[in-house]
Amino acid sequence: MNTHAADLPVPSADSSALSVSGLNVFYGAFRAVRDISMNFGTRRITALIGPSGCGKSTVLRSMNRMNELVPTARTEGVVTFQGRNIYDPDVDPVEVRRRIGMVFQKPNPFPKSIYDNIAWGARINGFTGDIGELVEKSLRQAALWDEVKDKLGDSGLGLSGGQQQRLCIARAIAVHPETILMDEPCSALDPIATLRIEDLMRELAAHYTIIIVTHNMQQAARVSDYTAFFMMDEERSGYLVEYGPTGRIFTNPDEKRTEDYISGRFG
Amino acid sequence: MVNGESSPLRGQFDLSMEQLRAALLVMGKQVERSIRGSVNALGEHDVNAALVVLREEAEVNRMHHDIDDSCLRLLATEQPVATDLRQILGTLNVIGQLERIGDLAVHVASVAQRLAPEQFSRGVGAIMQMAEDVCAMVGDSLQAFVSQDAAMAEQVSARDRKVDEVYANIFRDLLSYMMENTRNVAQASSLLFVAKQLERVGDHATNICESVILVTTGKHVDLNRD
Repeated sequence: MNTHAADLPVPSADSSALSVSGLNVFYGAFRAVRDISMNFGTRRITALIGPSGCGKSTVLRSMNRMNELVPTARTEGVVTFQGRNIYDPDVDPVEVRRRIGMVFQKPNPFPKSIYDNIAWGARINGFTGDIGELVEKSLRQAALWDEVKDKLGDSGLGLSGGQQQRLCIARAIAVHPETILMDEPCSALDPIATLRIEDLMRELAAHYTIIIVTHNMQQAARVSDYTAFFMMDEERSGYLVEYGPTGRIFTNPDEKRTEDYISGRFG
Repeated sequence: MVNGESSPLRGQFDLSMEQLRAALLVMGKQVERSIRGSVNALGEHDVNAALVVLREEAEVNRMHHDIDDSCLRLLATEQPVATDLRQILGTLNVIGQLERIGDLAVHVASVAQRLAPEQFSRGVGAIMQMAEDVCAMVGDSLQAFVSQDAAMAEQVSARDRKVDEVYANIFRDLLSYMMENTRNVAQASSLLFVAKQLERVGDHATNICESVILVTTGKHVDLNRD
């Protein structure tokens, strides 16, 4: 991949539109992640990897305030997006989630038509332009248009798994977010559908900052510009071990713990 | 858990890597034997010894192909990363160097075969010593590779300077021998060719040392330039 330069510098706080600083997330008394600080590359793909329970999904969800939907969750630290802490009291979490969209592990289209899956969110968000045009543009960007253009009235649930996931991506980009968070977006898909989504991610990275949680290390190596490796400490809190350009992480990581994990020696 | 240390999670893969290292050492020993055999054939005027080296080239090539196939299989099936990946790529490079050293042994053996009926008065003693030095370099560079010892690799590569000096001395000596009498030119130029092959063996051993450093540190170095 052209952007896979091993010497790609880790983004600085100045150049980054999205960063976390001193992030701690608690579920009740349990600290799920501790002291995470990192800057994400704008219009780059960053992969978060690590063994189960290391807090990578928690970190991902903290970046659009999704953790708040868990009753016992509490977040400390700062998540800066476009210069503002998204946890400031006067920030509207709904607006945060519009600008920082999310795609989940299991495709979750609404039980509505393909057309309405896209149009609904846009209408709710007060979109006043040409909805038909928005639907087509979003489906084209999600590389789904050619497959569904003749059946826009059919239910989104009638599509294949890979198509459903691309529909969810189309739905996410229809509200014009700046960042897309993806939580294991391919884990329910077959290898061909997975490659299509990865291809789509590369195309979307021209316009959006993408952060992806994945258990598939080959996927992280193939698709991302940067990789962050997380582990659990003795109290089972997740922490960041190493963060750097993907090319370097997979050829010559600094940390032995990273090397042991990516080479399958533990995990 | 890298560097040959085994992990229960990747036991089969670690075993394959161990077998790869063992095969590399076997190929290295064969190549060393070929170099020694070819130079001994020259010194002893032994045509049969030269023929053995020529025959054994096929064996070196077979080992090269076997190790090459093993590396390709591991790359395709195990998706190695980090040190594992660098080790396999390093192995592919090292077997290329060994295969070329095997070719150089064949060149020397061909000369040994041709010059067997002739008497030597100059150069051969230094050539035999040079062969010992470069064979030791090959063996030690491979030891550094399988034990991933960057410091040892640097020490081994430093010995190439002495090999280059010995070659320069042989060159001067054989040149003056040629100038003494034009009838010496044919034999002296053949011996010079042999010395040049051995000098290149030293360069290939140095290339193996560069691979050791790339595998252990991830950094490209040019040890041949010093």
